[in-house]
Amino acid sequence: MISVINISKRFGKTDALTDVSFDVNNGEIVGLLGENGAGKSTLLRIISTMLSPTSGTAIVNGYNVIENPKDVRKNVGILFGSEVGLYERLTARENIEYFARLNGMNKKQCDDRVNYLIERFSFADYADKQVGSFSKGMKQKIAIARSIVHDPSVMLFDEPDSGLDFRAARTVFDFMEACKKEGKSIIFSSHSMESIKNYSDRMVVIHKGHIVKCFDVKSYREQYTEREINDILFNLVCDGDENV
Amino acid sequence: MKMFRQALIIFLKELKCIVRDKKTFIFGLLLPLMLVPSMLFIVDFSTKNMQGQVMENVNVAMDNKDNSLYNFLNAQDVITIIDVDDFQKALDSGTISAYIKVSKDIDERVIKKENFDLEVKYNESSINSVMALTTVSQYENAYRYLIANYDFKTVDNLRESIAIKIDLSQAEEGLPKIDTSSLYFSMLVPMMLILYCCMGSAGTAADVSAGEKERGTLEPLLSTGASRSSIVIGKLLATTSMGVVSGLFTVLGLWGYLLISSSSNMPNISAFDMISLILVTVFISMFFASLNLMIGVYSKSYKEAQTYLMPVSIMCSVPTFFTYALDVSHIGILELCVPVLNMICIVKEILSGAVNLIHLGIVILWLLFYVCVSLFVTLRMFKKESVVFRI
Ligand SMILES: Nc1ncnc2c1ncn2[C@@H]1O[C@H](COP(=O)(O)OP(=O)(O)OP(=O)(O)O)[C@@H](O)[C@H]1O
Ligand SMILES: [Mg+2]
Repeated sequence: MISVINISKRFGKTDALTDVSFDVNNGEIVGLLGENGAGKSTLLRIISTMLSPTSGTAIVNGYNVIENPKDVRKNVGILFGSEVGLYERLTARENIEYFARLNGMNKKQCDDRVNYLIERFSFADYADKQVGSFSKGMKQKIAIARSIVHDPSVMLFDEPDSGLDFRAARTVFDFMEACKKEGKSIIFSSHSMESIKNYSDRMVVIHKGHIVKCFDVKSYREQYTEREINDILFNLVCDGDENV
Repeated sequence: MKMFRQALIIFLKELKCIVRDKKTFIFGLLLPLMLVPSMLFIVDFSTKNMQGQVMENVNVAMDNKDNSLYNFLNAQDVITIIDVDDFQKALDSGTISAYIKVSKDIDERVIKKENFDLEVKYNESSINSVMALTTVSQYENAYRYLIANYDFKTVDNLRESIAIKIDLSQAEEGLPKIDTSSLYFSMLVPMMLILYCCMGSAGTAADVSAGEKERGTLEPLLSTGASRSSIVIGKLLATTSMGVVSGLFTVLGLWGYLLISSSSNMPNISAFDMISLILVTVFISMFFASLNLMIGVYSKSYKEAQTYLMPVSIMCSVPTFFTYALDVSHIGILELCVPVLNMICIVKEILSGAVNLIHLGIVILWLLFYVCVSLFVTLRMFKKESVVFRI
């Protein structure tokens, strides 16, 4: 369960986020749609306690990001699309172990968890090879495994499909669905309307730091055609701009 | 407790990454190990070689051979007088190292104890010629000494009796000797040592901080349970180890050189001096590691870090050039409190074999203080989002 409560964030003179609020229930995927610079990454960084909000707050599984950042981090897993953020000189196993240890697992817990993840994402063949030589898809799998090494109840995906071919992207979305089935709360940001429409239950459209629309994807699909939804989204983002 | 456990996990992981980057790692160790000895070998060899050439054989020409000076110089083993057509050409080509012009009536004047003209021409652009000038001048002095202290009745008598061989090395005794190789030693070794204490950790510092930002691994790391302090401490430990290892390899190279070098010009370094040197090297490396890491944490990319780190290495090692004349027997408290200068002073003091334990203690305390300050600043910066997420 995630509650984003009136979050605003300023960087110097730029307002990256203004009064953003929404909830994410357990077992729900919320898609965060926005252009470049809309403030998606900033929001996800605030929820994962890497940045602190200028005002407002977020509650993750009952923990406040400002007051209990450590407890929040125990409950949050994050996955980036463009940069998988693996250590190239470590093996796949060592990459995952490193995060397991940093999250406070002892040797036994760590070994069990890592072996489980290697099995689950089936990369036993290359678990003990250095990551540097891997293809992007292989790296993505390992990054996925690493993001849930501490079994978080909340998953944040920041543009998880960017720069991936359709097969690797599919792996990521399958994983997202699996997380949903396990009852995790999920936020996934993207600037692709298609992936958000296909995979999220609810869509939050963010434009220049403001939430401009928040709706249920399923009910919209029943009401409108694909084409119409696209037009609605397009107009939301472009209405404010004079030059369109 | 938990913080240190996390710091240890981070430290061990960084070490693993450093060692696995085999080329950089091995090169990083070989360079300090080889550089000091090879520079000292070159300096030692070239000074010896130049002195050897001049001392063993100096080719000169004279405009006028019918005189006592010719007879005197001809009697010296070191000096060979050869005939040349064009002395300028011969000087330029190196056939001769010096050309002596002397008054035609020199002998008559010597007998009458009058002044005479004597001019030595040499090639300013040739080291050999410059060195030869010294030798020739020494014999000239010896000649002047002889004619001033003995009375010669006739020209024949003068020409005959002055043709004696002089041992310059004996004549020279008592005069202060300029020992070029120990001069280089006291200048080069501190410079190399400080340079390597600094450069040894620069790469690692940039890699574990700015490099991590650049490769996108920092954000996942920040989202783990590791606290920011433990991340900084773990990385500082890794950076420091690299710096210390490369500093110690520099000392090892120096020590190896002193062991195998036969040169008597090199100062004697006792085991005690060596231990002091190792101790001070460890602390200097710690200081530079913390400074380098501070710079790395501030930088947003590996490249940016490099641009800042390079001048720091240079700024910290170049002052050793200007302190070559530093008198190690007169080091005061003030010198021991100026950053960088105090490191140079203590290294020079140790190398001169006159280590003062109080000085050593003061410098080490200062270095520890600098380490604490830079660690504090680094921690502050690493907790600030305007630094960690600077764009
Ligand atoms: N560390 C920072 N310092 C200053 N400004 C920042 C910082 N991070 C983000 N911003 C600004 O905040 C705004 C939102 O940025 P953010 O990265 O959240 O956008 P985004 O929606 O993730 O875009 P993208 O699709 O390009 O990833 C942008 O105008 C950006 O320039
Ligand atoms: Mg983004």
